[in-house]
Amino acid sequence: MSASRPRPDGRPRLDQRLLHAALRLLTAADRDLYAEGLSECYRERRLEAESRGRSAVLVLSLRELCGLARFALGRRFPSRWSRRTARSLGFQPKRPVRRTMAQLLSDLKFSLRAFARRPSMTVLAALSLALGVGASTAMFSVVDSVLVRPLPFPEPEELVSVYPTTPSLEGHPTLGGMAERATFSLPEVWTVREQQTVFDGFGAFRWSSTTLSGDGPPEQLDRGLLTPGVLETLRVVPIAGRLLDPQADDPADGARSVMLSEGAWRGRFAGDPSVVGSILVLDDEPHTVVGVLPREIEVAIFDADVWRLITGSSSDDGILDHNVSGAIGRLRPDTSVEQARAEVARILGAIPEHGDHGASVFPRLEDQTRAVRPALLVLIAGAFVLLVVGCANTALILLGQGLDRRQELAVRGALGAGRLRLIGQLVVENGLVTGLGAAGGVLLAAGVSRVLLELAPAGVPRLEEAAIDGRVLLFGIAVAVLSGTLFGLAPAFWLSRPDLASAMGSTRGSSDGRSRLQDALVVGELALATILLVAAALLGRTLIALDGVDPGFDSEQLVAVRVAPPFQRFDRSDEDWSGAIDGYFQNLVDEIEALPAVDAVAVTSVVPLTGDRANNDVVPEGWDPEVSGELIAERRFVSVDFFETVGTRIVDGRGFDVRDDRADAAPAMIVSEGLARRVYGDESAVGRRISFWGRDPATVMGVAEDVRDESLQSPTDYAFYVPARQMGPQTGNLIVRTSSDPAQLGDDIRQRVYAFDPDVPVTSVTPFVELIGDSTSDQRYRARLMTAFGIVAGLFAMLGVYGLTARAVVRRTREMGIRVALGAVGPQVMRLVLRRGLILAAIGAGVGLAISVFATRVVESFLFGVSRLDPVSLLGIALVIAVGSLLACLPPSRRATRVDPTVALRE
Amino acid sequence: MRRRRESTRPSKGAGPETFLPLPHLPFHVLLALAEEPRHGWAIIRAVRQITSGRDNPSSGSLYLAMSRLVERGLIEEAPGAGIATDRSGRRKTYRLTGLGREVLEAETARLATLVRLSEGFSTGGKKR
Repeated sequence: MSASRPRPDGRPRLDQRLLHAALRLLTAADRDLYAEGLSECYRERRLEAESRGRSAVLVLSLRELCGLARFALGRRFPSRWSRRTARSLGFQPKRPVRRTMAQLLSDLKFSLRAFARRPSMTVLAALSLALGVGASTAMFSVVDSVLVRPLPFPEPEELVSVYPTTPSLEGHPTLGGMAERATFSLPEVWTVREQQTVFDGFGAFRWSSTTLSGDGPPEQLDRGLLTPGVLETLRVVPIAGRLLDPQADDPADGARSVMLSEGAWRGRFAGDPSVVGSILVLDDEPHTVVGVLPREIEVAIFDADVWRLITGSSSDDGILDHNVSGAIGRLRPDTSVEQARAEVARILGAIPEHGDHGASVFPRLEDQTRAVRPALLVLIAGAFVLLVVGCANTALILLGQGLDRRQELAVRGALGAGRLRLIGQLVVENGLVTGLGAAGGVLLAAGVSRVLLELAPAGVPRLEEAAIDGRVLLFGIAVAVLSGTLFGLAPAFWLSRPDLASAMGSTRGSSDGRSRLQDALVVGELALATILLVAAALLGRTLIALDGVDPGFDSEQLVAVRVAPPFQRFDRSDEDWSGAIDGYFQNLVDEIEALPAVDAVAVTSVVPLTGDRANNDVVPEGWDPEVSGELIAERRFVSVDFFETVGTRIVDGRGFDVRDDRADAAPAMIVSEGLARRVYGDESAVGRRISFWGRDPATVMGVAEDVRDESLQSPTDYAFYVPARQMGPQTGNLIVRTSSDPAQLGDDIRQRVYAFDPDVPVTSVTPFVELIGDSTSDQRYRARLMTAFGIVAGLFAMLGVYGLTARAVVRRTREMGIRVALGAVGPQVMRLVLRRGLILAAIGAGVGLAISVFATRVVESFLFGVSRLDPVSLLGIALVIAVGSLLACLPPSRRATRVDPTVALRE
Repeated sequence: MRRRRESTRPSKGAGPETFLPLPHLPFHVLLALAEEPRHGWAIIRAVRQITSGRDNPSSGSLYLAMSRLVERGLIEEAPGAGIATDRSGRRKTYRLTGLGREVLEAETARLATLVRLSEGFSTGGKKR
């Protein structure tokens, strides 16, 4: 009976296979030499054991396998005996790699011990790197998510935004954006759809709102209106049910079909698939849910709760009167953006009433992110500057620690450690610090990115998707490794220079080259910190300037109230349809006005600072658009008490009054100062006549001061106001003036409106203060982040100054001692130390300011009310750097004054 | 000190003392081979016999010790001394080198000295 006897099926036994596997642990050379002998010993042993039974065989097999593992390991890691004999025999272990591993381990142990002796410095060095890596990685996660990642649709690079252009609006203060990106009318969309040959799908969309009624109180929903072709262009796949189909779901045929968005489906219907086929009552009409659109649609178009088709003949809601808000197309694979643009321009140019419009086509992702791109790029640049400062700080600390150990290094060099060996030791030490920093940074990034999301202004597309995922992690690790290697290796090379040996015996001699490197690092840190702080100061001054702006209305006591009365319940064919709606709305207004906390209620078509836009061509009498250019002005339909309620001054003529507050009253208008100045120059606008929308000319009753109701940054130049009642039934949004706390008003209003009519949703009650705050949230975000980056960088720089000065004091203890012995007094010694720190600070701040003069161009477009060369910001930051550096130098300089000459000289 | 030699051969003149004290397994292996050249399994049996069964090294342990002894030049393969076996054709046998024999003698002498030095003691108790 033999242990190696194969099993009946011809396959080797398990223990044989294990033996072979274990033999594979050996190096090839060892296998050649010993495998045969090992196998034989095993066979013999097994034969012995088999006579003692199965358990003996099992025990033996285990023991032998362990023995083999020991052999394999033992060959790699010499025993103490073989190490000792090897050493005494003067030969080295065979494999340098293994020697290196052992050395690495010992270096690592040494480093850990060294760090344990100076934990604060180690932590500081790692922390500097960690903050830089954390900030830049977190910013990268945001940039990656918002700007870089492709749209979540098939072949996303083919998707483009399509706009008509209005070259005449180029440079218009508030409508300048329309020059490149105007809006299609629906007939234009149909024409482009029919005639185009460059797109594999083209469609347009518009936002509107709708009221959902049912069991509970009515709710206002965001509704997306889509022309046929949008969903097909995106190649979106419904997550339940089917897509809207122009054949089956044409509203003109009486179909009332909607799709839900994923968000609404999960939120309102708990993701119940049976909602497909159910009926929703929207605007008092039953609609059938045919499917659910995935969340991705928000990214490509916008966020809405329900989606509906519009077709060429949709006749309800006056939908056809409005322009769409945007259009998308999918480029055919062989078509360029430029070809598409040319063709759309050609099609539009052939439409007679289209005017001088052209067309523009942009990649969809670029177009969707254009508003946030510059700010994000500036912020990530800021984060990277912080990273560089953090790295410099780490390098500075490592360098300083290394210099403290010059003697040790020199001794080791003299004892035979080669330069490579010294570098190896230093690299391991620095690698440990940078590794710690990198790991900390990646961990920190998760926290920082959460803060970034928390602080972020609303409306940044895909921001909520920003997360520390594989890509970001990879980026963070790459940044960390790169900066760690660079800033860890550089000091190692520097410190291991051969001339270091000359430092033997002189531990306190000055070593100019090395301190020049440190000086350069500190100056660099100071300069970069200065740049970040200057940017932060400019952005901060922008915020202050915005806070100080007079918007042209009393923001303190005003509250914007949006309600959505169920006007659908009034029959349009009814003769008194208009009067009925007007009466109903007036009752609603009266109800709210009756609340004790409410002083006045005005009605307006446009709530300030919310992004509501409405504008028209206006034609003053005697104005020739051919000669003087087209005039486009912001249109507001307001109740006659609007100006008193919001606190906008009438600077010429009179405001509206009861005489104008009738549908059949003589057409009246109030124009903004800007519009009056543009049309009438220095002459008075009062009594002039202006027509718009093809209506009878209205008489200008007065001129209102310019208000900043589109953005706080600049007044709305051209605006005109018309009494709402003259334009049909008075409806719209409410502006409430209250004498009590605006924040408390919401519940009162909701209760009162619910008591008046439970079918009226109160969509929002927003104090104006909040509207103003929201309108500056972008600026606030930028300023906050930049300030955070600047402060951290500034602290690093101060730390650098402190460290350098403290080291210099230690190095010059003997010199100080001599000076004191020769009669120098405290202040003189102190001045000596301070001088050096302050010179560095001056150079750093100077370089920083000089670069800032150019670098602030980057933030120029974000500034308001402050020049990018604002002397207060520039000099203020210089002062901050100077004072900070002075403070950083104080503790070491005070230490210098306490040098005891007798002790210093004896050392 | 500065330039280290990369060779794995021992430097000339490395005396047998440099190997002392020997760990017990290498010592037993040297003892086993001192009688005659042996192959691996025979060494194991010899070690068992020498130690009256107290030491029964696994194949791995044995070959680890042997591989080190080979590298240090204390034992070597015995050329042509292989005998045919039923299965593996030829077994590798090992024998002591001159250095190995010196080391064995030195270690034996060292142990003998130790035994002599400790003769004044017994396991029972202290004797002054």
